[in-house]
Amino acid sequence: MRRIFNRNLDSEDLPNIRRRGKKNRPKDKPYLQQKLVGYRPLLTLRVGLVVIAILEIFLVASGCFLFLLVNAAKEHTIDYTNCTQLNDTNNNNYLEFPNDGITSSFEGIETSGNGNIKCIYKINLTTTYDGSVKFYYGMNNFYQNMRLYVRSRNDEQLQGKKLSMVDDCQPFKHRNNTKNRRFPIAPCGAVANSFFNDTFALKYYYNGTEIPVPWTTNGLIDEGVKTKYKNPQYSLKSNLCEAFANTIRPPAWPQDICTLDDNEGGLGFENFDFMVWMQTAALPDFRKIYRQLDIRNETFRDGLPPGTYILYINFNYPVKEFNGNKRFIIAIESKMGTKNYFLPTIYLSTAVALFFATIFLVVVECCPCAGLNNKLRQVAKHF
Amino acid sequence: MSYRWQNIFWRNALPDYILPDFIRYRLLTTESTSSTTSASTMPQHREVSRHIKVNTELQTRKFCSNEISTCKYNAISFLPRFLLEQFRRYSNIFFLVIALLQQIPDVSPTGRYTTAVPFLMIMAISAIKEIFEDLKRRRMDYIVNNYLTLVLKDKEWKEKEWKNIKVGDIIKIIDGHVFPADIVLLTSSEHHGLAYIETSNLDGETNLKIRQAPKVSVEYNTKEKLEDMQAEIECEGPNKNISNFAGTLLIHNNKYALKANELLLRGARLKNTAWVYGAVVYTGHDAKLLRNSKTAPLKRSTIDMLTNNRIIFLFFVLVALALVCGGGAKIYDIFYLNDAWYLGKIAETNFAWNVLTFFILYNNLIPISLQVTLELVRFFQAGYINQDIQMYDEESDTAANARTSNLNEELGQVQYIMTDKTGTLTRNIMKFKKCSVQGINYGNDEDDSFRDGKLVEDFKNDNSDNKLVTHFLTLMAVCHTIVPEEKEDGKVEYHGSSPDESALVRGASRLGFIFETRAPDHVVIKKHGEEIKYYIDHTIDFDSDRKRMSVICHTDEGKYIVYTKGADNVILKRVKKDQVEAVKKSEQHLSDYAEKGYRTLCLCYRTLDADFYKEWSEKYSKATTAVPKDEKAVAELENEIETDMIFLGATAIEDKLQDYVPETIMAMKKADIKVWMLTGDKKETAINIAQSSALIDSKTQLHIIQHKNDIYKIKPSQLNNFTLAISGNVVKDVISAEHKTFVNDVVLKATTVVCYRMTPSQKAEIVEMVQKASNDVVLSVGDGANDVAMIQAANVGVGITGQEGLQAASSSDYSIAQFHFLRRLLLVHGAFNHDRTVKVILYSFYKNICLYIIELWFAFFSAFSGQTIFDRWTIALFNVVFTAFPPVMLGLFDRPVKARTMLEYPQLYRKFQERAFSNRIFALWIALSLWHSLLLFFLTYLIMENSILWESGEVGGWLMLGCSAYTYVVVTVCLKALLEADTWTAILLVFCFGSILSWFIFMIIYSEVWPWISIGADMKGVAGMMMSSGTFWAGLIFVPTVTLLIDFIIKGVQTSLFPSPRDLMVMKEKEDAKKKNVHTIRVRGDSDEYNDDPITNPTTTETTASERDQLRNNKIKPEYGSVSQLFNSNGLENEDRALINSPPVENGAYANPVMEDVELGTVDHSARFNKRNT
Repeated sequence: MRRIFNRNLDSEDLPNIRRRGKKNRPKDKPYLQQKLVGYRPLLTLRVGLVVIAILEIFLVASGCFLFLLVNAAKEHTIDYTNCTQLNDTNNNNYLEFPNDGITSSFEGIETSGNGNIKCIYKINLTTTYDGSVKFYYGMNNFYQNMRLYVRSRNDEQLQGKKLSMVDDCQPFKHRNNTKNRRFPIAPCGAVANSFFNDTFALKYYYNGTEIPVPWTTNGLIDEGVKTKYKNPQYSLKSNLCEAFANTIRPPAWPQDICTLDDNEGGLGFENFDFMVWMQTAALPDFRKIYRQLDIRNETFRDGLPPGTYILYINFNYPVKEFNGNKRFIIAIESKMGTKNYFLPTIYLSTAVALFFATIFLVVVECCPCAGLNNKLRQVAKHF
Repeated sequence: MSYRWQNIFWRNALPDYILPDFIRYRLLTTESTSSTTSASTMPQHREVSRHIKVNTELQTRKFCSNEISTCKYNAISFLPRFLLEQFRRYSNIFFLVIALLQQIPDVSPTGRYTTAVPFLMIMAISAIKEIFEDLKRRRMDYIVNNYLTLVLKDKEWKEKEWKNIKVGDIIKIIDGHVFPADIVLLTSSEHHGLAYIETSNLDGETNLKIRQAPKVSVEYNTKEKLEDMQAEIECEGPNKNISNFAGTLLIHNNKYALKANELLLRGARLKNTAWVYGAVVYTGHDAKLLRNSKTAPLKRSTIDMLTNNRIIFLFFVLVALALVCGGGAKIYDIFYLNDAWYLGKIAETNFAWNVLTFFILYNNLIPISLQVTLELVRFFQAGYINQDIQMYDEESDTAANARTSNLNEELGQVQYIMTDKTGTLTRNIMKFKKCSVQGINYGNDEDDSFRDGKLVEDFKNDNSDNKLVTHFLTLMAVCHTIVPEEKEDGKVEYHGSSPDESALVRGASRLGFIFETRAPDHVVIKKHGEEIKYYIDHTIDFDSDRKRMSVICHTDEGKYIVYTKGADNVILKRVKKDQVEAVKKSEQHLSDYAEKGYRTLCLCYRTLDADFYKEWSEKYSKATTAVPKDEKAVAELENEIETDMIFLGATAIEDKLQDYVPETIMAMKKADIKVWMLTGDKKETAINIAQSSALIDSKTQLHIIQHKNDIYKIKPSQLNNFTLAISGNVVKDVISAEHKTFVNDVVLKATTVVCYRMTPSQKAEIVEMVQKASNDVVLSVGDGANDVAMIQAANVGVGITGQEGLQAASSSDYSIAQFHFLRRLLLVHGAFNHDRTVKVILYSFYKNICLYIIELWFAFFSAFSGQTIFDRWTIALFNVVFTAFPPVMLGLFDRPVKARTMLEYPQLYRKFQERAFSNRIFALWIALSLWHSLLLFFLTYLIMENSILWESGEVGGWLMLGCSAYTYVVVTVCLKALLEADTWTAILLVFCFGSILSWFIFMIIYSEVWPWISIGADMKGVAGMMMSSGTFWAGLIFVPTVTLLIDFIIKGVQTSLFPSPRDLMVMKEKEDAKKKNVHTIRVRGDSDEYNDDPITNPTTTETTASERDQLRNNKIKPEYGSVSQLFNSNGLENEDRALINSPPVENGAYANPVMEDVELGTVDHSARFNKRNT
C-alpha cells in the first residue's frame, strides 16, 4: 500500500505545518529581525545649534558671494506702451538700478506713409556696457500661461513633417483663403497667432552720425529647444513658400510664415523670434530675449561705449485692450542671469533670522530654568 | 510512500491544510440552537431529503462532487469578480471617474491618460496579488482533493482520490485517517461496531468520542458481504447542523433510524479503531464541515476607518477648491481675459467645465498610491511578525503567524485584553500533585507530579475496616468518563473531556491502580497486578449546579458502591457527621492547596444495600425516561443516593501556568492595558489562577457579582483600585441597557475583571459590550474552540496554537505559540507598526498636499485657467515613482526606540498610542504641508520670476519654472522623510536620495525623447537648461532647506524642551550605549545574539547585577536619572519604580544572586508567585 503516489507533488509543496524539528524556525537575519544597523538621530538643542550655526555660516558666505555676482549685472528698462500718445513721457514703473549708468528719454514718433508708427527713444550711457549686452522685450498682463492658450499649438506641425497636423490648435486650426478655399493654418494655434511683431533698432550717435548697433541671435536659444522647430523639406529648385503652399498664415499675421526672416537665416519655423515666442512664458509678466550685441564688430568689441544711442521701435503689437504694457530692456547678465537681488537678499536675511534664533537657543540652553532636569520634571507632570 | 498517506497515517498533529487556513471555520457546535436558526433562515437552495443507493453508481439524482474548491476566481470569472471587488472601494471609483472625466476633450489640464496609466499600474499590482493568492489556494485544494482513500469497487478495495468519491460509495477508513466526506458508519473492526473518533478539526475537542454502527449493518464486515449488501439510505438534505442528523438505513428490508451518532463527519479522524466501513452520504461542499466554513468577518483597523474619514474630508476639500477656482476662472474671464484678443474665443468657458477642470487638477489631493503603499507595508510588517525569532517556540516548532495583515497597527492600539484561562494562561496540562487522605497530606510542591511512596505503603498496610486508602485510590481509577487508548508500544493513553479527570486517572495508575479498559457496562482496573472488573451501573454526570459527579458500580462480589467526587463545599455537606477530625485536617489542606493555585476536589464514597439500590434504580430509571423528563424527581433521587457519604480526602491538581505569564500580565498592566480573564471555569479556580498570574494582587479589593442584586451593592464612589469577578449568569444583566452607567462607572474602571462560568457566546457578548461602551480596541486571546466566538468578535483576535487543536488559531487574526509572545506582539510589533503606519499615512497625505496645492498658488498667476505648473507626466509619476519609496521604507525600517526598550518600559506603549492619528496631528501635518507648498511655490516664483537665469540670455519658459519647483518639491519631500524617520538605516538613505536621483534621471531622459516619441514636447531641452543655471542650483540648496527649517526647529524645540517619553528613552539608550562602551565588556553567547527580551534573556541587561542591587535599595540613583525621575513623579508605587530600573520581575528570586544569574528563565513561576502571595 505504501507506494509513491503522484510524483509531481513533492514534499516541498507542503504548507507550513507543525512538524517536529526546527523547520519553521525563522532565520536570524538583521532585516527579518528588524535589527538593521541604523543611526538614531536625536534632535537636541545642542545638535540643533550646531546645524543652525553651520547653516548660518554657509548662508552668509554664499549670500555675500551671490550679492557680488548679481551686483555685476546691469539693466535698464524702457516702457513704451504709451509712446504713440505724444504727450506721454517715460512713465517707467519698473525697478531701476540708479548706479547702472544709463538713462533714457522719449524723443517722439515717426509715422511712415503706410501708417506704420515708429517710437524713438534717446538713451544716454555714462559708462561702458561691457561684454555681450542683451536686448529684451517684455510684456505684462499677458497670460501666455492660460491653459487653453498654452495647449493651442501643435508641436508635430512645427516639426515640419505634417503641416496639416492642427489637432489641439483650436480656435486657429483652419481658415479660408480669399478664394474661399479651406487650408490648415501654419503655424496653427493661438500661441503662434499672437506672435509678437514689434521690431527694434538701436543706433549709436557718434560724431554726428548714427551707426547701427550690430545685433546677433547667436547662442540665445537652447540647442535642445531649437530642435523642436523644423521647416518642411523642399528641393533645391523650389523655395520655402512652396513647401508651405497648402497652408495659410494665422489670421493675425501680416505676412506668410515662409517670409519670416531674422536677417541671420532664421526662416519660417526656424525663425529666431518665432522660436522664442513659442516658448510660452510661465507668468503673465514676462520678458523674452530679442537680440544681443554682436561684438565681432570693431566699434563694439568691448560692449556698448558711453555716449548717446537712439532706439527706434516699430510699434505694431496691440496690448492696450488687455491693459498690458510693453517694454524694451537693455541688460548685462550676471552668472546668475538677470539682475535680481532676491537670492542674495533671502540668503542673508535668512541668516539674520537664524542668528536671532541662535541667540534664543543659546539663552535657553544656558538658562538654569530650562535645565534638563527641570524639563524632565515638566514632562513628568504630563506623563 | 506518498505523503498523502503518510500524513494521515503517522502524524498526530493535524495537517492543517485539510482546513486551509484562509478558510475560517466557525463551527457552531457550542451554540447549536443558533446554528439551527441561522441554517433555517439561510435563503439557500434547499434539498429537503436525499435518497441514496449504497454501493452503486446509479443514483436517483446527481450529487455534488467531493472535489472542493476554495478559489475565488477562475479564468473566466477573474476579471468581472476582481473588478467588482476593486470597485467596492470608494477610492477606486474616484480614480475611475477621474480617468473617465479626463477623456472629455479640453477639460483635463493634465492630458487624457495621466490618471488612467498610474491607476492601471496600481490595479495591475492588486491583480497580480490576487492571482498569486488564488493560485496558492488552488494548490492547497489540489493537495486536499488528491488524498487517497479506499473505495469498494468490483469486490476490491481500490485507492481513489478524495475528489473522486461519490455519494453512495462504500469506503474503508483506517486508523488515524481523516474522513473524506460525511459518511454513515456501517460497521467497524471493534465489537458491536464501535468506533472512536477525534473531532478536534471540527470543534477543537481532543477527547475521543464513541460512535456505534447500526445494528442492522454490523454484520457486513467483509468486502464480500458488503458487495452482496443491498442498502439504501434515506436522509435529510445537506445542512450545516453538526449535532443533528436524521435518516433511515434500509438493508434487505430491515429498517434502521439513523441519528447523528452513526454519522462520521468529514474532517474528523478515526482513532483507536483498526478500520471502519461507511457509506458516503454528503460529499464536497455538501459536507457539514464545508457548510459550516465561513469566511471570517472582515475586520478593519481603527486607522483604516480614520483614514477613510480623512479621505472623505479631503474629497470635500477638493470639491470646495474646484468650486472656488471655478469661480476664480469666471472672475478672470469677465474682468481680465475678456479683452485678451490673443486668446481668440477660447477664454469663454463655462463654469461647470471649469469646475471639472479643477476637480481633475486637484484630484491627487487624494493619494492614489496610499492603498497600495499601505498594503505593501502591511504585507512586509506581517512578515516581520511571522519571522520574529523571538516569537518562535522551539518546543512545538511553531512561529508566530499573521493571518491577516490589515490589523498590524491595531495591535498598537489595544486597551483591553480578553484572555481565556485554560490553555492560554495555563498549560492545560493537569498534574496530580498532592492529596490528603484521612487528614494526612501526601505529595509535595517541588516534584513535577505526585511522587510519594508513603501512600502506596499506607495502602499496602491498610488493614482498617473501611480500607479508606483503597477506596480513595479506587475512586480515582473508577469515577470518571475517561476512555483509554492502547498505543502500539503498549502504553495506555487516556482521553477525556476533562483534563482533571485524566490527571487523576494517570495519578492513580502511577500508584498502581491502572485503569485498563472501558466497555459499555464495565471498566477494568488493574490493582497492583490484580485485574478487577467494576460494573458501572450509573454515571451521574458533573454539571455546574451539582458540582459533583458520581459513579454507582458493583464488583463481582456484588457490593454496590457510590463513588462521588466534587467541589469541597458540596462534598463536605454530604459526608457523615462523625468524621469531624479528618474533615478538619483536610479542610486545612484544602485551603493550602487553593492558595497555591491548585484545583481541588473532594472525594467520598458510600456503600449501598443491594435492595436499597434496586429500589432506587427503578425509581431513577423511571424518572429519567419519563417524557417529559422529570427534572425535579431526578435531582431528588440523585441527592438521595449522594448523602451520608464517607469522606475519603481531597486531591490537588496543578494546572501549570504557561511560561512568563505573570511577567507578561504585569507588563500589560504597566502598558495601561486592562486584562480581563474570561473562563468557563468555576469561580474559585478562576480567582486562584487570576492571583497566581498576577492579574489580581492582594492589595486590590475584589468584588464578586454572582447574582443580579450584587450589581446594586457596588457603589461607584467608594471604589478605588478594585477588581471584579462576574459570573456568567449575570452577564445578560450587566450587558443590558439599564446598567449602562454601571458598566461605564464600575466595570470599565476595574483594574481587572474576571468572568467565570462563561459560555462561548457570553465571552463574545462581553467583548462586544466593552467595545461598545468604551469605544476602545479589544484584543481577545484564546486557544480553544470555545474562544472562537470571542476571537472573531474582538477588534483583534489572537489564537494560541495549543493543546486544544487549531480551531482558535485558524479563526484568529494572529496566532502565537505561547501566551508570553503576546507581550512582544503588542509592545514591539504593535507599537512599531502603529507608529509606522501612521507615519506612512500622514506622510502620504503630506506629500500630495504639498505638491498639488502648489497648483492652487499657481492658479493666481495663470488666470485660474487650470494650467498646471508641472508637466503632466511628472505629476502622474510623483506618487508612483519619485516619492513612492520613502513612505514604504518608513513603514518598513523605521524604529522609534529599541525593541528591548519597549519591552523594558511597557509604559511607552501607551505613549505610542497617544501619538495616534488624531485630528490634532492630522491638522498639524496638513498645516505644515500647506506651509511647505506656500514656501516652495513663492520662493521659486521670486527666484525665477524673471525667467532669465543664465549669463547667455536664454529665456526659461513655463516648464523651467515648473520643473525647478518640482525638483524642489521632490527634494523637500524626500528629505522630510529623513527628518521624520526615527532611525536612519542605510536602506532608507539609499531610497530617499535614490528617489531624488531617479527624478533627475527621469527628467534628463524625458526632456530628450521628443520628437522620437511623441510625448513631452514641452519638456524638450528643459533639463539641460535647468541644470546649466546657477540660479537653479542656488535655489536647490536654499529652498528645501528653508522649507524644512520650520519642521527642524519645531522638532528640535520639542525634543529638547518638551521631550516626549520616547525621546527620553532614546536619550537613555544613547547614554547606556556610551556607558557600555566605556565600562563593561560583555561576552554574548550565540543564544542571546538575537534575544533582546529583558525577561527571557535577563543576562543581557545593561546594568550589572550590583547596580541593580543598589537600585533596588534606592540608595544610589542611576547616573542618568531622567527616566526613573519621570516615573517617580508619576506616583507609581515604590516597588513599581524598582521594577523600572531593575529587570521587570520583582520577586523573591532576585534576593538570591545565584538564581538571578543562572535560572531566571526556568524558575517555576507559579511557585514563585505563590511564595509572594503567602
